[in-house]
Amino acid sequence: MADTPQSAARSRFAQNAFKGGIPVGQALKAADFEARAVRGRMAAALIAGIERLNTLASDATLEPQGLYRASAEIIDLGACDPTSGVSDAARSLCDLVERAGSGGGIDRRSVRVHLDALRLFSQEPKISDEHRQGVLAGLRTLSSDRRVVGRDVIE
Amino acid sequence: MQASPSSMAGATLNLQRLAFLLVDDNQLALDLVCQIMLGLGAGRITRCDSAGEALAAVSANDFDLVIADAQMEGMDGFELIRKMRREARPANRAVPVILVSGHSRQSDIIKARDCGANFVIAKPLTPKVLVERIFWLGRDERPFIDCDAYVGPDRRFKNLGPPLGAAGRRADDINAALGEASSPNLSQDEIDAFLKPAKVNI
Repeated sequence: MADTPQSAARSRFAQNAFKGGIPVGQALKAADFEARAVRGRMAAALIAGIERLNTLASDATLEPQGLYRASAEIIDLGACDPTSGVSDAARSLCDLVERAGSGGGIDRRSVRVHLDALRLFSQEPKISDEHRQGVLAGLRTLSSDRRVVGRDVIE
Repeated sequence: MQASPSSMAGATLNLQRLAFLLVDDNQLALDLVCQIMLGLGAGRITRCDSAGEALAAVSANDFDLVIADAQMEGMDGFELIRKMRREARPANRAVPVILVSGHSRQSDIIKARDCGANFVIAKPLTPKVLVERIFWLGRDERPFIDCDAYVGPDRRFKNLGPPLGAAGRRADDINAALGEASSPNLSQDEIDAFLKPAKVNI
């Protein structure tokens, strides 16, 4: 291990990115402002993305690759409102599809529940954080294939 | 060793004279990271919507930071970074890399570490998280390894801890028996635990 070629030199980035410039708080405000216009376009694309997912979920074949791609795209689009839970719900759907792909079919009802959650999070931004976390916990139960029976969790 | 999270009150950011390479095959996601970087004061930004285009860019120009999507169609972000670490012009081989990941399985984070990425950010991308990681890069003291098997920040930075089941293991010790697991998405905290950054809170 001792003769592994290595360098301890700091990168040009580390040497220069923090000398002078603008205060971090000011930079963050400017970045938020710049991101706003893109977030508006993402919000519009999110509605279309959820509809595309709905179409795929209604298809008799429930094709996993298409569902996974559409869900992954919604993770990106969730940046239109990072705290909405949209990206988390879409990630849970990716987990669900991937698990199903590695054995057995996709549970159509679980996909529907994820779709409902995506609609809720994207259309009702004022829901409480407690409500949102509760919904997300339920989705994770579905996507991790851990079903709650009474107080027990079975896998 | 991991530093305790510290506040960045009073810190400044100077990205004006640095060159950034942003890579994502989703145009809106690429627009978002581009606008965030512009807001943070980035001076020179090169946008690429494929890994192939990014490889051409790192062969032609010098960059100071690369931010790339992990899950792209065709050549993904992991392969892009692996190739960049080995084949790019000398100034770019050791450039800091942040991978941005949508669906972050445990195996993806291991892949990110093994391809030579410095850090991974779970989407959705926000200015705050990006700035935090930028400061983590500034405090990253891992030596840069360049050998036949691996090129990138020292992966041995994290202590594996005692074997599984043995006394004395800490909650964040890596499981040395990890393989190509099929596991649920990881949270940002879980991702960071694999890459052991010197944390900075904004």
